[in-house]
Amino acid sequence: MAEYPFFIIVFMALISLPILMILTSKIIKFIVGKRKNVSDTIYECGEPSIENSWKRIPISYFKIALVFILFDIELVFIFPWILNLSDPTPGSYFSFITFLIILFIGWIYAYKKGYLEWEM
Amino acid sequence: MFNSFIEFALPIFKTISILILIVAYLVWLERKVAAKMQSRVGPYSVGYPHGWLQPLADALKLMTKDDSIPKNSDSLLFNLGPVWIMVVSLASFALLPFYFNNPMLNVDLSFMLFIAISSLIIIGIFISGWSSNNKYALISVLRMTAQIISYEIPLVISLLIPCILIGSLSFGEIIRYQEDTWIIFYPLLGQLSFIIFFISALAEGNRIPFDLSEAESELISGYTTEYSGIKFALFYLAEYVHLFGICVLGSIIFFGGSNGPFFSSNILIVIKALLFFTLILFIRWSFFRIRIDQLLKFNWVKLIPLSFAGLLLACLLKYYMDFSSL
Repeated sequence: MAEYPFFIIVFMALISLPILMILTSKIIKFIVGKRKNVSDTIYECGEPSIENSWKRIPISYFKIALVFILFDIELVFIFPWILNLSDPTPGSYFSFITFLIILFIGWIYAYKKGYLEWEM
Repeated sequence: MFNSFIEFALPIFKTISILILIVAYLVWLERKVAAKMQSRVGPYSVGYPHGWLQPLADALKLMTKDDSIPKNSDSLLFNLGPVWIMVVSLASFALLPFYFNNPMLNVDLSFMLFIAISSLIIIGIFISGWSSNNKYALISVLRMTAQIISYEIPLVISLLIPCILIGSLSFGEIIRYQEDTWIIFYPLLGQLSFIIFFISALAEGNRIPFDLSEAESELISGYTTEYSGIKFALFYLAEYVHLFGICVLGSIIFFGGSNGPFFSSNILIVIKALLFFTLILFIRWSFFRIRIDQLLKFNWVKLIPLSFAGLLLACLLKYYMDFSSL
């Protein structure tokens, strides 16, 4: 347990690194001299950009994200099960196999419904 | 007070500086290998034997470049993006036992914490692509999000199969278990989980054949299109740090970590990770890119059922090993 506060110090050191790099770059540019900045428009192959890009996005990405959440939450349950393996009983294995079978039924449902296909 | 501060700060400083040095030379190595495979010379003129000062020259050049923020972008998120990615990809290294003796942070659940931290990187990528208000960046970042979250599932499962066989989630235990035989030589399960790990590591590291977010002929340079100067350098560095982290993870879990055939030392972890990285480079220059629907269908229809089958097999095998005498 004693190690976790140490992680805060590591984190502070890591945050300071990119900020220091950006500051160094600013200092170097201050010494070299500022160029005239005309590059603040959005890159669009030479054309001026039309409208914002914050718009509706294809439904397929949302479907993938939903199926991902389903599988990812169930993945989290495997971690405590592995910690339990140092003192195993037959029941722990049977319950895990039952869990995997239920998960696989969920996968078959998503496959039959066509959620794993890409909609053009 | 001051001494205890030095005791804290010195390993952090050493690890970060060694890591940055290794990663800077990974870029150089990649350019050299690419040149070799295409019968070119590669970087040569900066620094006498084979342009060894090239990473330093690149960094200096990028630092003097103009640092532009697009007019219509969300400037807070735009500046937060590169910092977030850099911090997260470096923070996962606090848990890996890659620097001489110990990891910076020695906890029982180091494997789980590593997975948790390294999957935070997608948030940084998403905010940087979304906030730059560029259509190419948005398309790139949507593809990247779908790809990385999908391939995270087979990646984690393929790493959990060795953990089930070993029965622990700490890197120290995993390395100690492999003193006699490495996991890669474990019959059937070792090879199966390594193949799944390798494919999903290519997708997580955003490499060919899965580099859809930076498909150079379609999207200018993906989510980094609007970034320039030092912020672009941060992205570039963070990408290689992340990839190197995955290589180190592979060398610890499948190739025995610090255990070697002749001697055992933590420098072997770095050597194995570099060999693994070279393998990824060879794949980069010999394969082509696949489409987004092929990418996602391959993952959800083939890779995930395969990895669940591996999980079931590992569970049955462990049951047999534990209770066969009863």
